Amino acid sequence: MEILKTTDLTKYYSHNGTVTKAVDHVNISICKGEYVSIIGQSGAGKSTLLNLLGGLDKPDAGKVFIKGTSIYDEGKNLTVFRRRNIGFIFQSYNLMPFLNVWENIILPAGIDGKSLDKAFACELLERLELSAKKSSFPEELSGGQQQRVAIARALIMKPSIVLADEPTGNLDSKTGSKVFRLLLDVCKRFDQTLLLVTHNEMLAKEADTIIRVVDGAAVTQK
Amino acid sequence: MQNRTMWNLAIKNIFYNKRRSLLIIFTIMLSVCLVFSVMTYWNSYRSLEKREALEKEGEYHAEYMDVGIWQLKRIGNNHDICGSYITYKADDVHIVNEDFADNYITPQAVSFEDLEKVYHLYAGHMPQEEDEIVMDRWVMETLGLGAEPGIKIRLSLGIADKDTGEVCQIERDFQIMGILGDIESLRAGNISYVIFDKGFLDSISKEISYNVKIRLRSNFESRKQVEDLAFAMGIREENINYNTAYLDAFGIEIMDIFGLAVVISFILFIAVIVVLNIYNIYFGQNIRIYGLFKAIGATDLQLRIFVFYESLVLGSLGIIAGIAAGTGMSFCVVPLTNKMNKGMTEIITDISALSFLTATVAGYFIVLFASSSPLRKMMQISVTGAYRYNPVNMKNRNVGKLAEKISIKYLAYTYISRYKRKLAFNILSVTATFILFIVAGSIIGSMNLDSLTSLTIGGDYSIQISDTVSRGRERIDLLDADFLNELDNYEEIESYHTIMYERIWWAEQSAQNHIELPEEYIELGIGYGDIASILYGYDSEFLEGIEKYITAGTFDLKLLETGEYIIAVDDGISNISPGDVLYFNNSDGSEFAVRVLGIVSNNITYRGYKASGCDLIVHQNLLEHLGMDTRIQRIVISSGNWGGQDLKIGLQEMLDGREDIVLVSYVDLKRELEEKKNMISAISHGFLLVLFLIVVFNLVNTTFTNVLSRKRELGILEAIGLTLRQEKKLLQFESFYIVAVSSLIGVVIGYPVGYIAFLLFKKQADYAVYHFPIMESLLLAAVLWLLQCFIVNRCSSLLEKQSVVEKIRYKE
Repeated sequence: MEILKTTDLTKYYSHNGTVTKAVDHVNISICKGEYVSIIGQSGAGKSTLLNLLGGLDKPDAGKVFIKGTSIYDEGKNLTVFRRRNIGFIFQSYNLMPFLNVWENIILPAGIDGKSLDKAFACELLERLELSAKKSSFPEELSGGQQQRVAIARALIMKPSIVLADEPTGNLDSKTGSKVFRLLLDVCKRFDQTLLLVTHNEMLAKEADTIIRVVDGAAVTQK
Repeated sequence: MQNRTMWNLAIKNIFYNKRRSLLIIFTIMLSVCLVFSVMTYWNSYRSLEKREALEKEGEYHAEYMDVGIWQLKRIGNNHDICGSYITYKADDVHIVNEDFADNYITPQAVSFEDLEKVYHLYAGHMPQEEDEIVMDRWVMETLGLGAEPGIKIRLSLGIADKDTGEVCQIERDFQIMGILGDIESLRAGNISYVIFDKGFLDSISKEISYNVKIRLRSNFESRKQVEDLAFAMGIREENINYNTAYLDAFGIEIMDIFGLAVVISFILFIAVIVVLNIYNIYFGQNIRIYGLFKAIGATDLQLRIFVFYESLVLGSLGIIAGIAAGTGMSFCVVPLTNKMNKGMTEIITDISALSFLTATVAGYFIVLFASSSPLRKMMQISVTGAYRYNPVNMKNRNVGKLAEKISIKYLAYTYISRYKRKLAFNILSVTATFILFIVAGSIIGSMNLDSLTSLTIGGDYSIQISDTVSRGRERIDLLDADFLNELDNYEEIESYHTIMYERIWWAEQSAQNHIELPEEYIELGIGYGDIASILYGYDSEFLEGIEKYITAGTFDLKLLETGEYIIAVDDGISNISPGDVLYFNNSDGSEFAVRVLGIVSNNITYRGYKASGCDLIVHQNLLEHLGMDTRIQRIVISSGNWGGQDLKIGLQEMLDGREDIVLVSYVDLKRELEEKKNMISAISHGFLLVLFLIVVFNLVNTTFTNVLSRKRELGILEAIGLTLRQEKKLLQFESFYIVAVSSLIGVVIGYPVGYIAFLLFKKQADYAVYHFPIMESLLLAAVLWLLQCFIVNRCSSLLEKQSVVEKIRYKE
């Protein structure tokens, strides 16, 4: 079942009169529950593509359909749509420094105004081995722990799609591997689609689909 | 060479960080402007006091009374005294002319040495012949002698023989060759100097005593110096007569300086907080640059020099602009104060070197002190520490119970409560201004003009004998039966009441029992035997009007009309209770007694005159019974139609051309007082506005910097689902918490401080009625909140223009 589709997705950046094609007429289709890795060299446009897929940046042309809805047609409701359907994980964790682990995790639910599924939140804590750290603040945690908090935060709203931008990029290989394994396990457990931008060939190889980005153009490899 | 590099870097850095530099310069400018204006006003006011003191009381610090010959020598040889002027007082010579007695003037036969060095001669010269004298101008006017030198006067001199007790009376013609300007302290006690030639006084008096007026070399703590010198020379406390006006005007008392220092410290306090905050934010954001400097080999000293140069340039620019603005402000404020004090001596704007010096020191102090603390922090940090530095150092980690839900309100509250230190400067500066506004609001609001006008008039109109006439005791009855008959013709007059008054002197023992002598009286040499009270004689109806103000005892009109009963006015000092019998002196030396029936509060309607003792109210019958002055001194008119123009015009026509009778209208007086109050309010609020502006700078700067430096954080929140509307709400909640916390602390501290300020003000102004400054507080809180909302909205609009990705990629 198709959950994400793009048609001629395009994004240009211009600087001092020079136009760079960050994303160049990308057409991809991703099914529910799939693990998709996005690979490519630095500056190829992987992160830009991920941001466009997640509605963080506006395309210059083309469309992104999530669950059949063209997300950029949603106008001002894009943010609401995003928080209910997409979970983001960033390379540099991006946790709120003034909130503790528990508060960081349940933050999206609070923003959405929905009552918290506490059992689910506890399950996430358990699975991501964070139960003992729920009162700690981000700066008291290791990089791996912080990234696990970021994963929990991305999953708390039970999104259909999880977008991860080099989630292990700041971690050593052992910790990175552990975090990736946990992320993959949790996504499989809740039947979520995972799109992961990575430089790590090993992690990419495990994907159901690999999207290779070269100069903004995407080549899908099943 | 290295210093030159640092200088160039400092200049470049000032231009590169334009916004920060301008904020610092503006803050210093406003603070220096305030300090300079306060100093200039203080200096101008002191100059006025000095001028007045010299004109009214003469140029000396104190007078030692009844000093002996050896004390005179010691005074002459004392290095702390730069001038001593002897007054020869003939204690056995009394001027017994009836016209002096009729006007209650006590003349003193004296002679002076170097009179002109102490007092200002209005006209003429000192006595040079035995038949020449000098007299006070006001006495000459009261006696109807005019105010020109050369006038002849026949004086009756009673010379008492100490041994036999016999009095020998001689009459002699004198020529008034010199006229003395008004000496206020003497005039207040109806004492007049009649200055004779020294040779003449020696020839008729066997009992000459010496009083010495002294001028000290230094004005520092001069009152204490006067006292210490006197004690060292065996002069007793009661023989020291302080020249209070001169001491106050010229003396440098620690308390005076303290008051000025408090005001300046407050300005500096707020300015330092603001500049410190600006530097904190700046260093927090730029510490990596300083880390880089260290990494490429800059020493701590070079970094210090770099910051010092920067502070020097910013401070200098702020000081120059501040002094220019302060000069302009001074030239605006001082004339405004003159308008406020119409009829009084004009204050002349007097810019002194001290104002320049204080303002300059204040400016450099602000910038150097405010930069020192963040600089110290910066010096302690290592190169790697500088790179890793997190400007948002969270202090409060208390989490308590884990939250069930994170709302926008909770998010804002958590941010505020966990970054207390970061926001402390903001809260502190807003709180300080809040307190100041409440204090000013308490004082200005407590200026109850109705109360002041009622105290002065007591009805819609007051007709009274002019000061020049009432001072004399000429047997003219201006507000007599004919005058009252004329008033009866006015239909618009609903009622009128007559007021008489007489100054009476307390019997010494009774004064000791009931009056507590204020310190200033003791300093002036006023003892229990000199205490006087004003005895007001009201008619029955006017008397009934005070019944509602009775705070102790009873009010019985019958008793007041027929017996020897009085009502005492509670002045907060006298110890008088209902039932007490008070004794007073008759002019023939005998005593008379009256019993206190009740006590009334100080807020009762018109009294008007002042004496050293508390005011007393009786029925007019008692004045007559005691054989006192029963001429009507004032008529209080109620029209039932306040400000009725017809009546006013009628009364004005009736009194047209009569300078001896004055008409005062409640409405006119209130309007005049209102103008003065508005002026005071404008000046004080102008001062507060400048302080407020400094705080606004701080708010704008910190809120902008705070929001923009959190761009990434806000981007992440957006990425996980925070809408722009929610974001704006979040920032508004944060601003609200800052304003709410500041207001709350401001109210908790401000109200008690405001009340204390009111109590101090009340000591100076009887008419003050406490005003709870709730409206001022609400208004200020609302203005701050609106200001914060405006800043937040501006920030939100700026943030809206950027995409989530741009925000997330933002690095400080």
